[in-house]
Amino acid sequence: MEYVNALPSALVSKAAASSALNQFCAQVRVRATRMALIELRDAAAAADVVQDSLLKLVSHYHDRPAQEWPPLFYSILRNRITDVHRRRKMEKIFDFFFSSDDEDDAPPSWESIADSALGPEAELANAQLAGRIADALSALSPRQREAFLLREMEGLSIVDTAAAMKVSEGSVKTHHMRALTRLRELLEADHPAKV
Amino acid sequence: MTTQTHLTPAQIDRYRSGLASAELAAQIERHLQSCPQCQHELQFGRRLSALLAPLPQLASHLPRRAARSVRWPRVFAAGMATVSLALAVVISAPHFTAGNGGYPGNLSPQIADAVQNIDFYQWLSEHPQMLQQGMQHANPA
Repeated sequence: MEYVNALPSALVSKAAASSALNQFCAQVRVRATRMALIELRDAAAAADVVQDSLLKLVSHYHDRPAQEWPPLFYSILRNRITDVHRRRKMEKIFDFFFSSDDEDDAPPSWESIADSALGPEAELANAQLAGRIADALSALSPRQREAFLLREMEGLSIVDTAAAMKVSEGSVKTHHMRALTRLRELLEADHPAKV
Repeated sequence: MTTQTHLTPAQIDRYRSGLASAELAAQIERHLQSCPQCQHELQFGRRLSALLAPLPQLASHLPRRAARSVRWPRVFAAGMATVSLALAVVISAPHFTAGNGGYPGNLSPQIADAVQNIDFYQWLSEHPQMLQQGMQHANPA
């Protein structure tokens, strides 16, 4: 039972009827968490939105054909991430009445986190590279980032990406190309060595 | 396009994103079959995605969002300011609505009468003979 932890126990019985769905959830969770981390920069919030999205997929769409799951799931995840951004914006409005230990709102860059991380040299180099790429992705517009991650990390087709992003196929192609161009600029300007 | 003249990153990105025309796409595909360097360049996005694998480990070093606590002095001060403003409005409102014996603002009774009967006074200015007649037949009292 490799995928037994993919879903909360309450839904395991529902998903057990479709082991393919459980397998999909297990596979997609890692990549979706990476995507949510880039968007939210908060491990707990990222885990929450991914969990919520999986729950909704399993409870509402388990009877849909398997090829519809990826665009449906990423569409749900996108909405959840937008909800978190909205909630943070609302919290910011009322910040005058609240205090927190981290008064400085700007989160540290991924690369600076990687620099401060400890570990074997090779691991550290990988972490620094990942941090640099994550920072470059953060510099893209939300649409460009989403198109890039869905097409390149998820390997979704243009049609599925358009369905997940709720935009036209032409728009997906344009955002994807601009993302690739911008990433090349950012990563090569930042560090001339080829990625 | 031979293996000697490599594809530009712009051409590769256009092809990769699906924006290349059918003719250009066919040319690029022919070139890619015999050029490992351009094939490698085509996988630029895939490589970046794969290199993001250590991100969850990095995320464990992210500073946790601290719990928010209410700043009661500020809440109290804002409440007091709101109540004071409301009181100021309630207290000063009668002065604005009824100043001198029911006339708006600081108008004298004569001016207030003229304002209220402006139509009549305009008509009277256009018919001065009516004013004279009125004065002749006016009640001396």
